[in-house]
Amino acid sequence: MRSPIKASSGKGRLNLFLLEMIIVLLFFSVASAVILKAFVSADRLSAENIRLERMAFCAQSAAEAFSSTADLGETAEMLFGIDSESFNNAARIDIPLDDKCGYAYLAESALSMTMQITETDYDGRLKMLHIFFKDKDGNLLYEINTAAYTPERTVLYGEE
Amino acid sequence: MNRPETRRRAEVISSAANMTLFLLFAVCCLVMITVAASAYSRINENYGNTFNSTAAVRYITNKIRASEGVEILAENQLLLENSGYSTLIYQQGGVVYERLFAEDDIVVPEGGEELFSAEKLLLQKRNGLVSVTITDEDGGNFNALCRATDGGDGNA
Repeated sequence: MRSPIKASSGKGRLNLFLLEMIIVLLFFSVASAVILKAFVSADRLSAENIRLERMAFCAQSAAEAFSSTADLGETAEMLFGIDSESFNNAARIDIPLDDKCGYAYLAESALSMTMQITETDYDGRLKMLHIFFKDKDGNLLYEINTAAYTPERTVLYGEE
Repeated sequence: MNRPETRRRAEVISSAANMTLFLLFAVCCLVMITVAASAYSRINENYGNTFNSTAAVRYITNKIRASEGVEILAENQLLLENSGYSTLIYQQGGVVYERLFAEDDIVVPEGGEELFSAEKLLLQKRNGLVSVTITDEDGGNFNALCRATDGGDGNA
């Protein structure tokens, strides 16, 4: 029995082959673009996750340092080695940071960390601190609130 | 009119074209699998290192907060004192170890239980805070400051 499909000429087959090749290449281009995009975004998410961990540690350290010193300048000095005298009794400090949450003194900063005293109470002994991180575009990345309480020191006999 | 020679040549060309197409398919598959595998392994390695380092820093800082006294014996040795026993956390040969000692035991940094892998553990005392830094195999490090109950001088 003869096949119902009509045999095509050599030139026709070549055209069909080229068409098939183009379709296959097109399909693979689209598929590889989708897959590469997925992996690039996974890579970016992984980097973001690491940066978020660093920000969490940085904020935690800042909170610990502030609870110990109750002063923003001293907190910045303990965290990044910045001279605390440049922040004399400041209520807000903005610190440029690199991708690894290190102080970006000369390098281009990828982040900024802000420590702001939002409220004081009990004659200034209780200080509420808001710590937040923003990226270059000003998007909020991470924030925590903390407080430091400096108990009133009893004046000993003979002390002024 | 097709001659037998022309038909045979056309069949050979057709088979070669099919094989080329299949080869192209196989090569594309191989490239995509290689790229995907390398990206996945890089992401997985980064995640593992980060998790390991952050877990180590969190574990040590939590231990410091929970202890009654903290003493830094060396830059990679931390003694956490509690009533009746003390805990030594130390780093040796790329691993962080922990060992418990009774109150009168001599504290030696050996024979501890393996906790985490870490290339370096750096402990420092800064104005009553203990700084814990863990460096992983890729050289990445995580640092946290922790307020010790006794101010980090070992005197509860």
